[in-house]
Parts: sequence; structure tokens; C-alpha cells
Amino acid sequence: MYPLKKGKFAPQAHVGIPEGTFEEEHGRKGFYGKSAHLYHAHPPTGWIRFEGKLRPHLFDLNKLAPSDCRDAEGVPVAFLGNDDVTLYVSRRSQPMPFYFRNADGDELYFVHRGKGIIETDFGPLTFEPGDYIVLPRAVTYRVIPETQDNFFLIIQSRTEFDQPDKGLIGHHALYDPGVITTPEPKPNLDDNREWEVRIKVEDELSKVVYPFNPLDVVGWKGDLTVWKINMRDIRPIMSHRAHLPPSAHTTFLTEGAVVCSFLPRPLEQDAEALRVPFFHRNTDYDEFLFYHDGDFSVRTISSRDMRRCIRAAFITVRIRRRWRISIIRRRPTSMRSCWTD
Amino acid sequence: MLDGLNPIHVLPAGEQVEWQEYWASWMDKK
Repeated sequence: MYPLKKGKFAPQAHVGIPEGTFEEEHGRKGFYGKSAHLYHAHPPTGWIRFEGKLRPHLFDLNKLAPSDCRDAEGVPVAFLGNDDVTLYVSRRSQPMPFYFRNADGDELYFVHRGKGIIETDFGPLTFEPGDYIVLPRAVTYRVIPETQDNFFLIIQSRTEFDQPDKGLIGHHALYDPGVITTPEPKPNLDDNREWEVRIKVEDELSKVVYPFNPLDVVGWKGDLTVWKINMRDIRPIMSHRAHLPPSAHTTFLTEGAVVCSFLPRPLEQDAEALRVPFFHRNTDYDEFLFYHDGDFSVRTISSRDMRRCIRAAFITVRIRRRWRISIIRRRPTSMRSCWTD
Repeated sequence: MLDGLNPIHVLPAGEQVEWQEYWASWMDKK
């Protein structure tokens, strides 16, 4: 259908919003599909009452107490889930005394806090805050933290994590694939003890015991492996003249979800460009925000007090089939050096 | 649960750490 224009409207989306109106994008397919822009006389979030399940949610994940926080035999805790993805928090503080293999799905570890090593079939990888670690389904691994106060957000997906098609902006955009780290083989061949592999399927554990260390891979080849990228190596694209939709910040795709990384960046400076907040009904997705660092607040920032930079790093998981959940963790001054630099 | 087609569920652990009145914090302060 040719785009229709009715009443008071802006000729271009996100530019030259009519005086006294609030633009809201009503769109399909996560900012790729059909859309309409509604010009409201009031902010769409200007409610005075909200009843029922559709209300925005906020969770203080620091209060979760997964059993792996104090017990090396413990496990992460799940706090949200649907048919496509399940979100867990792990606070593992001690090396796992067993190996783990997830047959229920692929896993994406986001390291919010902590340093250490993760041993895998393909070899070990070190980890540090800001790391995304992709663990394909059924990879055998073991987390060996070096620090005590650790925090991992784990996204378990029914389908694998892929990189987005970067289209017209080219494959070096967002991050150069050269910053991806993959493990080198490092077999544990001199480990003369029994090892248990715990395999999770349908949320139940099966246990396999070997008289040797099962991470005995002396070499590997192929295009299916463990890999990682750190958030600091993601360089967001931006436009000073036009608001870019959240999909411009996509880092991973699955069949049922999108993971985006929002990093410190200048905001729009053109006099006519839409400022945040960007009101939208992303009707085919629900959104979960996890605040990693910084002082940006999606919902409280206004044109009156807006700063010219987003001084924060956070990720969103946009999950196909519609849920929008926000999680905020503020560290008011922690990104100041980033801004100053 | 926020959708009727493939709903996401707040699991019991999530319910325990949810701030139930969060929605009200979006309202303009008078």
C-alpha cells in the first residue's frame, strides 16, 4: 500500500515533528516491516493507571540467588522464558567441578562482572566484563572464574546465534570480524581422574562419567565453534540527522530473538531530528533491557535535559512474539571517563 | 506474560525480585 498521509504529520519519520505532538511508531517485524507514525497530542507513556499483565516490569537481578553463587555444584537460575528463549543469571564464584553440555539450546553468555576461563571442547577462552561468549548447543564446557563476585546473563536459545546481515554498510560495520576470538585446541591429556559431564535436556540432567578428561580434542576444523566478542569492540553506527531504529544496533540473531548492544555514542544533533525518547509499538517483539554500565535512562530522558551523548552500555534482547521487559542497573558516574575521552 | 501468541513468562525467580509498582514510576511527577 502506498503510504497514506492524514491530518497533521511529519513528511519524514523522525524529522520535523509537528509542534505540540509526540511521534509514535507503530510497526511490524521489528522495525523492518510495515509501519505507521502516529502524532499524539500527549506522550504515549503518560498514563495515570495501569492494570493487568501488560504493564512494564522491572527486576532487580542483583537480588537473585542462583545456587551456583555459593555452591560449586550449583546451577544458574532462570527468571524469564518463552518457547524461543530462556534467560538465566549465574553468579558462579568457584570453578565447576564437572563439565556441562546444554542439549536444550545454544547459549550466549554475557559477562556483566567477573574474570576467568571457560574450558570448551574447542579449547579455552578467557573472559572479562563486556564479553559475549557464544556456546553452540551441546558444546562441553566448564567455567573457571578467577574472581569471586561474578555476574553472567545467559540467554538460552532454541535456535543458533547468528551474526546480522550488515547490508549496505558493509561487513566491517558495527565490528570488524577480525576482533572475534576463537579458541585454540588445548587437550587435557594428563588429567588422571574421573570427570562427570552433566547433559541438560528438557531441563533435566543426565550424567556421564569418564575415566579421563573429556576435553581431549587435539585439533578441530569447521565453521561451528565457540567464539567471543567484547562489547568495547562494537562501534555503533549513528546519524546526526536522523534517529536510527534499535535494529541498527543488532549484534546477534536467532529465529526467535534479536540481541542488540547499545553503546556510548553522540545523539542526534540536527535541529529537526527526533530526540529520544523514541516512542514505539514494536508489535511483533517484546523487549528486555539489561543495563550493563552507565547512566542512560530510556524513559526519563527528555528533550529538556537530554545530553548530547548516551553515556551507557546496555543490551537488549528483542524476542519475536512480543514481550517488552526492562531491566535497569545504574552506575551514575562509571562512564564519565568514556565521555571525557 | 505479555502476549497471547508466544507469551513470555515471568518465572518464579523473576517474580521474587520484581518491583511491582514500576509502571507508576513512568508517570510524570507533579
